[in-house]
Amino acid sequence: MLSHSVQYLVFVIAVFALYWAVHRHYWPRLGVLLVASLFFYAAFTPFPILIFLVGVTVDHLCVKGMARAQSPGLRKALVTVSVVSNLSLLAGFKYLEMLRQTALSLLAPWGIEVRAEPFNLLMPVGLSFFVFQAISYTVDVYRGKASAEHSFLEHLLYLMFFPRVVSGPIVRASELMVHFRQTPGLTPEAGGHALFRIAVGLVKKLVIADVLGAGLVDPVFAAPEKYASAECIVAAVAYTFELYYDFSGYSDIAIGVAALFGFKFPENFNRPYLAKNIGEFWNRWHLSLSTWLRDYLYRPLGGNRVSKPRVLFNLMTVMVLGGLWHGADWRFAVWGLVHGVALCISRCWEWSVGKPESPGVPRLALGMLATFTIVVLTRVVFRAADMAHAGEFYERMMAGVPGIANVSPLVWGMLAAAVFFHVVPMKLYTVSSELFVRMPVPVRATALVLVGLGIRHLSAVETRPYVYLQF
Amino acid sequence: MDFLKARSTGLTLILTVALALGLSLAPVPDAFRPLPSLQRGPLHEKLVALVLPTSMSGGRATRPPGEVMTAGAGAAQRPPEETEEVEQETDAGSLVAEPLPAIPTTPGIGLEELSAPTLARARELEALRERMGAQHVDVELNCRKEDPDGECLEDGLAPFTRALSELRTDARRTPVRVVHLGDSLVASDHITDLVRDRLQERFGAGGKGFLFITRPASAGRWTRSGRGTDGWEIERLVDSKWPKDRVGWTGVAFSTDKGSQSTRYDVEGSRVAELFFLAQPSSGSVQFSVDGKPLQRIQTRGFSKNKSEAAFARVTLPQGAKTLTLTTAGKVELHGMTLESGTPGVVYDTVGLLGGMAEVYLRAQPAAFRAQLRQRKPSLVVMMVGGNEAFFYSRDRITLETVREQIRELMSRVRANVPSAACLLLAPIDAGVRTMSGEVVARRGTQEIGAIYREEARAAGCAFWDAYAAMGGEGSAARWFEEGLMLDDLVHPRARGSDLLGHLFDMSLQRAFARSRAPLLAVADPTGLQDADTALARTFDKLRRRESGEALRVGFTQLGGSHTASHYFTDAVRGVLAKRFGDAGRGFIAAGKASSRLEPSGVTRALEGEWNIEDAKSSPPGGPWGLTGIRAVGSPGAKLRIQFCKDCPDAKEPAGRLDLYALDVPDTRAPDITVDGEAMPAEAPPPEPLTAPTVRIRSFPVTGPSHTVEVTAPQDGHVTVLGASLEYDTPGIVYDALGLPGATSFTLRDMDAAAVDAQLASRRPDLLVFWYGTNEASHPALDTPALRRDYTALLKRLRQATNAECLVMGPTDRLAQDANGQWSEAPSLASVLNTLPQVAKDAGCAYWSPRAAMGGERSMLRWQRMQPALGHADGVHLTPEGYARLAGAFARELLTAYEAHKKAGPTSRVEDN
Repeated sequence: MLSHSVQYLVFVIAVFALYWAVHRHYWPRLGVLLVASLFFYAAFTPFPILIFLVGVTVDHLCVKGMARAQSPGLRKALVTVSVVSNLSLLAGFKYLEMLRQTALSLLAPWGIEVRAEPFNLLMPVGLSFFVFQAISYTVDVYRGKASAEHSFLEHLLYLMFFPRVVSGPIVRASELMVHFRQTPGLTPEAGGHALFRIAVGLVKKLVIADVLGAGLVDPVFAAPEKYASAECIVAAVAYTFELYYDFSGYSDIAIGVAALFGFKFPENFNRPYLAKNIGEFWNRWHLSLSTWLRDYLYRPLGGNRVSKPRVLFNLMTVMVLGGLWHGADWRFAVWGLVHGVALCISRCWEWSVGKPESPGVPRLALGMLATFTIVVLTRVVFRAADMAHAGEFYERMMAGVPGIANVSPLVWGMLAAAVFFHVVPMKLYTVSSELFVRMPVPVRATALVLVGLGIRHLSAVETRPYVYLQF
Repeated sequence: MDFLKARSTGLTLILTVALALGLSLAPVPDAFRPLPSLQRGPLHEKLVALVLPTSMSGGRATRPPGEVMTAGAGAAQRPPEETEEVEQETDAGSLVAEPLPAIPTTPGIGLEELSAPTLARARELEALRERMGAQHVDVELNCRKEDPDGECLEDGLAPFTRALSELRTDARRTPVRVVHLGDSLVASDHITDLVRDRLQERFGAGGKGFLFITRPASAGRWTRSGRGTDGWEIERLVDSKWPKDRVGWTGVAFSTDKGSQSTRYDVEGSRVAELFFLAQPSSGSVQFSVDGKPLQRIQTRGFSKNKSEAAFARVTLPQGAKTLTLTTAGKVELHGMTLESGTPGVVYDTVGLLGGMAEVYLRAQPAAFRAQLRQRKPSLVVMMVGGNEAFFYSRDRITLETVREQIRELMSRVRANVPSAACLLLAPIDAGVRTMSGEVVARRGTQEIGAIYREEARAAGCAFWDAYAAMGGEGSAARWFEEGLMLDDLVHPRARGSDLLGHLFDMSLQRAFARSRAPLLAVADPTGLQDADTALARTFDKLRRRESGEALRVGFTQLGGSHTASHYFTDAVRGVLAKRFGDAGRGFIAAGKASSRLEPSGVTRALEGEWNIEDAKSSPPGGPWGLTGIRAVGSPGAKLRIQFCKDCPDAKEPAGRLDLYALDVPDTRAPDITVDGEAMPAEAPPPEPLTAPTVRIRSFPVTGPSHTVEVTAPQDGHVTVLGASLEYDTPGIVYDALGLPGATSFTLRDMDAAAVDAQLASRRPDLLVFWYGTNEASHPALDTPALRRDYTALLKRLRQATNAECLVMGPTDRLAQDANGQWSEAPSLASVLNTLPQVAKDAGCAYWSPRAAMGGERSMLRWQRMQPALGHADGVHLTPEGYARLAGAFARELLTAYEAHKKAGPTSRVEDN
């Protein structure tokens, strides 16, 4: 039940009705959200819920232990247990097979016996997001930034809350768990904005991302040798926008749905392709992951408050691990590595020439173009099946084969729309949302139905799962 | 409620839903419906589908995109891997298998020559076909050779049907090979596996055919490849950097130049192995080892210093070889291996390439394509592509003109390379895509590709099979998906769906074959149990009551020739029935010599002293005989022993009785009889002095399962023993096997009627099973009218004597070999096959044809050639495995008819015998 399906919308409406019918009472309110969240997850596959229950139980015991422990050593040991147990889940289900394959290719030629059969472990949907959010809570409790007084069910709901369980955003305890005990409220304005946000998310995903993906990206990446160089380049750009509209569309829906229940999720994107350098890009792209990496990895490593070489090392470490977080494949590490190198170069540049007070328009444009180019080029590694395919794709891009006939007018149109809606001032969005909120209820409902009809006619015939669902 | 009162958000949602539903159901153009799926099909079902997640409404759960992305290709190119045979296949040959579903099957659709176990599975698939709306579509034969006037001289399948005909008439000593080139639909040998099995069952198995060196993809079944080590370098024609100028239609190059690589094949039943490889300069060698022992080393070095070419090396495998291992030395490139049995039969090669298209096969080096194809000498080349073409066409990545050119070129290449082979082109099957509301709709383009293929096949002189129409036409992929027959990708059928496609394809081939020739015997040999509902009603009623808990004995008595005398068939049937209805004892055992055939059921016979075993077949008509047509005559002092349940533990239960069948002969003293070592008192002499030998049946109460009866002739006279039987007082089945090798119905007719009738009545049969006919079929001058008349009278007489129902079994497929070793039908087989169903009808008996259950025409030949052999080399009898297979089929048919009878309701209560 993906969040851009009709089933999900029906599910949300049903839970919405139940939730607001009992919202004044803590236990029924919690119960509705918890049962709905477990049902939602079970609709994918029920078995991982058991794994998550074990994970939450361990974390919860550690949290309670930290609350009672007087000794700093014991608190440290407990937070370590929690972090290690969470990372073990990730390692076991996500990285074990990659490590086996790597060991096999590296050690087998030396005669060292390595298991030849694959482990065949299927990764539970949303595990990466679950683990990072779980770690953030126990570490926040350890740091004294989050309360340890939450119940087990609150803890479970915090990690399994259905609007975000599949692909985030990674929400801190202070942004979600603390609100479980407060009686929620939903003003007509907030509700209207939430519905508008969901509609925007659906359009982003189903109209722009899926049309770009099905119309150009998939076929070109499947067989780049059949396409001209310019077509490959357009496909790489299209994928860059597809990924953004896919994930930000999902995030809009998640944020909008959470808002329908009175919760405010953090923003996940801030028009990333307008970034003027790679550092800024990471302050605009997948913000909940970037800030998580900053708070729970970069800063503990020393952050900026260490020597310059160490800062560069920290940056590289964070980017490579952040890359690997996306998937158990070395190409993601390569992708992270390239971004890390770009970040290091950018940082060194800043150190050497300093930040310009007011860079001129040409310099800003050049920065944006360079950053966007790096992002597009590295997206090829992100999208290709493996490094060899990425190599072939690059080769084809550079081959100079003429032609652009395989890019259909619909794809061109959608690409133009993607660029336009990315660069258009945010005010347009805010004004539109306000207009929607002020509409009378019947007009608003009619507008939503019209949006639905529009999506039906403009979207690709084939709907596709979210790209980030696999992470 | 806050939800309605204060929150305009709630009202907005309610209104939105109402508006969306209203618009979707209102009489407005489809373009204005937000949820058009609500208009298609029952509303409640569509509403449920909208509300429930796919995984909870009978569909498949959403699959994360990881598999698709890592596969690196479009969904149409690479099927998600499926666990091998998720659906549990029914073991049709199993003796205790569930009864067949009672699916009526229209005659002439191609089921006629399937043996009973395969027929059982085919009927299940027929039921599935009807449910899915799939169609029987004939192969469009087209014309491969015309005379100048445009008259067709040879249809598109003629070389293939002709070759099959030669196999059938035993006029061919070489295999009939089929080369099937395809895409991912057949990459894991689904679809083709069923077609191969069926063809090999009908025409004999010629071996496994072409196999890859190891799996060409990281996933998939191992059925069509060896088990190779991990170090093989694999290059495929479907890869973006395909192996140029090296590979033929086999499509994949397996190479190594670093260290030694190996692969292992299971070669049981194979006698000929042929390696397909690339002969190239400075190439290494391949060591063939059988069961771990070196057999032969093949050099793969080419003669030319700068040219590589497809080459082949044939090796004969020793009899009984189990595994064949290939181990490379040096730089080697291999393309595959063929395994054949060396006997006439069908060999069905399958090459399925993930992402396979006509264009992919055209990437093959023309010379290698030609060399490899000619090496196989195929009678038929099947081309099953088009699915990926349709996928690309639906994405506007290929034009119909290109599709046409590519398939034209592929067919032209096939026809030019093997002009004597038939070619057959298949239309792509239907596929689906999902819309935003999760609805599955037909993917566009498939029909157009199919239409082009039909036109091009006709123009090229190839036959054409419309798989799309057979599947059910547009939208069938969606229906198949809902029934769990398609994978989530809506492109690839699951194992059961593939079986259904294979079933439809196989039957279209079978119909084409049937149309191509006249049958060897002009007989109507019906499959299945005939007239069981009326002829066996009382028996079925009794079985039903037994099954519902009544303490009843149900008696089956089977009379016949060597098929019955061997006990293999009856032991197996008894086992099935006793398991379900209970075991009431072993029943009758004829007097005679020790026999190993009785050992499996724990019965032993022993003779001491001088005994003369006489049989009714070699004696003048008349005279009292035991039920099997045997009597054992012992000289003074000779001893006969029959032991039941030899290795059974001593126990007090169950109680039962042991009956001894002997002849009282005038002026002869009674023999000494012991039961379990205890002497039995002599029985009072008959009131009237004996004037002729008379059957006497003595009954001894016994307890426990294991018993021995011993009969000793008096010192001053002879003794004639007919047999003994053991029955328990427990409710259940008694199944007597009363067979005399070589006997015919005439043999039974000529035995003393009073003696036969009395003994048979003492067996208290509810059902008499007669299995004669195989020996009658061997008589060149069989008096058919006499057979019909006398056999009918015999049946009526015995039914009257026993008040039992009856079932007549026809002959097995009986063949005779001429001086040149050529097999043909026994001279009177057709007469017997035509007469016995009439006899059964005249006598009010049910009828079952073992020959039809074996697979009909020339099935004996195929049973002889199976591994393990099911038919005996004499062309008359079956091997123990064959009898067990046939018994399984019989038991299934009987129980299926019983189930149908049970469903129909009981008839009037009958008195127990």
